[in-house]
Amino acid sequence: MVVVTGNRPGGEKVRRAIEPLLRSLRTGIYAYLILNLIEYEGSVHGYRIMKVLSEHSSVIKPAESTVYETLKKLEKMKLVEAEWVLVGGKGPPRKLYRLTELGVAALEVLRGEVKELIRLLEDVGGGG
Amino acid sequence: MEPGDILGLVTIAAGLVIYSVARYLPMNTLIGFRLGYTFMSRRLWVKFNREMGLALAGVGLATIALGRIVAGEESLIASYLAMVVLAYILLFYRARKEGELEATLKPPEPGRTYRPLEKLQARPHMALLAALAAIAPLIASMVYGRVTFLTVIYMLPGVMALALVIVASRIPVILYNPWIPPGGMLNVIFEALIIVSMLETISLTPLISQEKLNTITILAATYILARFALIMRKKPDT
Repeated sequence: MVVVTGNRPGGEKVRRAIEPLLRSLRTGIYAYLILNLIEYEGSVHGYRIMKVLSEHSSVIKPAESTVYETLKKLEKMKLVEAEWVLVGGKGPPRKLYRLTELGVAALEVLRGEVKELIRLLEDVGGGG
Repeated sequence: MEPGDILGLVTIAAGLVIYSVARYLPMNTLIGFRLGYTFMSRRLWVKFNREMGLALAGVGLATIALGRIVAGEESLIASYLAMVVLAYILLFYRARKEGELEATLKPPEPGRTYRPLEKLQARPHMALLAALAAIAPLIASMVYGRVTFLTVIYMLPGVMALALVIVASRIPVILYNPWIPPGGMLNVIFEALIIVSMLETISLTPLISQEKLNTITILAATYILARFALIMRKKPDT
């Protein structure tokens, strides 16, 4: 992965130019990663999602608001459902997310799409 | 002095007092902007109590201004109440947004086990029962007497039971209270509201003598109190 930083000549200009592209590229990827993580964990809290994503990449670290908005969007699309719980039996209440049946089916379709995208990137270029 | 001046000044003073003491006010079940969302953290509790103070001061100022425009005390009081309700609704939505954010992203208490927040199982018969309880006093008044202001008051427990069914089943966190142990409390409140509504409806009819009604009321109150006491004694099974 090419990391664009402001230190390279013209880096800041490039970063600004690709900002909208990165945003739209990452939005879909975050949703996909979050769906995968929820499936893997079964039932997961937003804080854990943030922690796992941050631990696995030093470049792609979603902001709190991004994770929150993505979860809200997935909930609205009925791909995930939230449950209010008291973790460890104590308050304050927290929200745990899990996949719905629709979410499980959608994730299967998305996986196929992602595989195809990776193949396309490798064939046409840009995938390394 | 214009008609709205006293009401406005008292409201401004109350608002400023709430704003000033909010950061010293401990979370409690009696005073303040008490909502499941504001009970989530000290930060939210202070923030929304301060905002409530500011909102009240704003309502007070608007009341003083309206007192110079609106004619008649009744219209002024109606405007005042509408502004208070509006301020509460706005604050509720703001608190909801921040509370949801906190519940989604702030680290939870340590531990892998979790217990679902108490949720009133909204079965259709409960909503139907609550709706019946809401209109029963109205029907009794129409059949055995006439509809008065008291009838409207008597309809309130049924309306509250209906609101409880809807709110507690859809957004249970609104009713979260750290001091009330979970486990059937919402059901007891629901039952209490339905029983009160039934007793009020019976009192509007000549079907039972006042003496018998008093006895039934004492029995019902004992039953509800016993159930409350049992729940309050229950320890959270962590």
